[in-house]
Amino acid sequence: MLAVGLLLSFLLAGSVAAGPKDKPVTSKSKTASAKAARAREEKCVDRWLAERKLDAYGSPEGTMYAGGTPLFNEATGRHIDRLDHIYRKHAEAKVACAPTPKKR
Amino acid sequence: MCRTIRILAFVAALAIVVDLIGHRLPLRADDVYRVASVRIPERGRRAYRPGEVIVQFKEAVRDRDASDMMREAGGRTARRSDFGPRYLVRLDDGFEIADALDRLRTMPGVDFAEPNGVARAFQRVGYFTPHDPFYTSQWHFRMLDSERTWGIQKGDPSVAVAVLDTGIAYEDFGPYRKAPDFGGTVFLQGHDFINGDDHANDDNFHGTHVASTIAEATDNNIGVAGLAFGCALMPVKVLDNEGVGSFFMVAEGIDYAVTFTQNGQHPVKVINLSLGGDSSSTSVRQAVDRAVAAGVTVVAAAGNDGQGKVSFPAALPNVIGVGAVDGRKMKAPYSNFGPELSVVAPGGDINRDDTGPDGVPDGRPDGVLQQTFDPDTAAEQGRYDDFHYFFVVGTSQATPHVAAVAALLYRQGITQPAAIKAAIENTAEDLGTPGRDDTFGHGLVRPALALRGYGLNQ
Repeated sequence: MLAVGLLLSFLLAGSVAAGPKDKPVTSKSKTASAKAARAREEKCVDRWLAERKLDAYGSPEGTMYAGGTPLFNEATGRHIDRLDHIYRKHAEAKVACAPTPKKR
Repeated sequence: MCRTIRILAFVAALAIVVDLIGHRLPLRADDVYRVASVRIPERGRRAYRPGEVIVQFKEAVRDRDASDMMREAGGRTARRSDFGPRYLVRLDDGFEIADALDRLRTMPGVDFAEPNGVARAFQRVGYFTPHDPFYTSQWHFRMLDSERTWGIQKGDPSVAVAVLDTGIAYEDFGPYRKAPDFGGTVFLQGHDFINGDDHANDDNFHGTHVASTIAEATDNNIGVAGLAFGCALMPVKVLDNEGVGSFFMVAEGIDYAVTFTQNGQHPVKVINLSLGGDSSSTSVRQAVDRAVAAGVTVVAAAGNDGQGKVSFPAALPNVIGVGAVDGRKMKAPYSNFGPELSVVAPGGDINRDDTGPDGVPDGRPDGVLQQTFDPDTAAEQGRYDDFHYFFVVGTSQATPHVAAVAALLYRQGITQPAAIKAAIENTAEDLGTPGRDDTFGHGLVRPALALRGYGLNQ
């Protein structure tokens, strides 16, 4: 039963994957746009941190970390996003730099 | 409508596939995998198999009488030899081997009785195989040809490695406990720069795991092995319980280790820094310079951001900056890289399983396996006695492999940090682009070759 469901789902999924030809182009331009937005946001945050004499992770300059970074947990292998980490520590950095969500 | 159904079907299929994968590989990336719970250390190597004796009866003794005699001596089951009236007797719970032997030896039909000794494989010439039960899961030592390394050099307490980290579980003090598999490891007097006292106990987990890779008690029938297990360790606490410290603390820690004397000697020859930051510091740089000038080798982690920027102080030219590879000798995804990278060592990848026996998956994540206490129990309950063997990944775990090699090289007679660094780099296994590259530096450290004097002293 599971196998039949799986097969059926894959077949249907194949149909979903075959979309209109202009789709990848849209997706690519969206990715490029998101990358540019992220770069702008990172630049803003780095400027914000430098003005306050904080390191790249939002801690006072001169902070040392186990493994060299607070973003990677060596016990779990899990990596967290730098901006998320900074925004959690400094909500005002988010106000200053995070793009405001568009109203629908 | 039709499109919605298709999308829902796709999501359902994805969920089923993920579920199936989940059953095949039950370990998740966010699991801290425990190999075994803490065990009470046993002194020395066990000479006899517990609860077993061998007894040989005289030819005239009938099997039924032999059976009665064995039962009377405490035997629960017995296996007869194919070649005569010799039996392997397993004793009932509560019966001591000595008592059983005493009884059997007084029985008239018994030719002899003896404990069942543990047979061990002969050591191959030039190799040393430790009898630590989880050593076979330490793929990271296998990758470095550890048994050949130990055949050349196992280290000596006259050479010490200072571990500047979150501390080490090295003593029973207050709520802190000595890790069971540090039984025979020699510790020098350390210092806690976070709390300002002489008890550099670990309250995080990180430092204990790092220190274990260097000098876990080895060949003691407990847990796992350490790469320079004959060398001494010095715990220096410069990071707090969250693994965070400062330039000032690290500089202080380096100076402490370098100036420490015992019996008029400076035993600290290597400093392990499984730590770093994103900016440089004059105080740390000068402390490193003083260490190197005093003949101490400094080894530091390249960092875990997965970016083309080696962390400070690993980026300093007189420090051995260490990156990490996984079980396939591929760059670990988190490992920093760049022109300052010196070498790489196994740091693992918890999302992969390539390192079982004969290269087949063994259902265990490819982390560096060492002993430490459970970080969750420590953080949530303030308990530092919940010891297990953990697979942990990172350049923090790669670094102590190289620090251990440096310690072994000192024991071999090399005394200058520049020569130690050259010996390690010149004998490394070239990975990636031929010659030195920014991804692997000079390549994967090869302790046995470095110790034999290839490269530098060729």
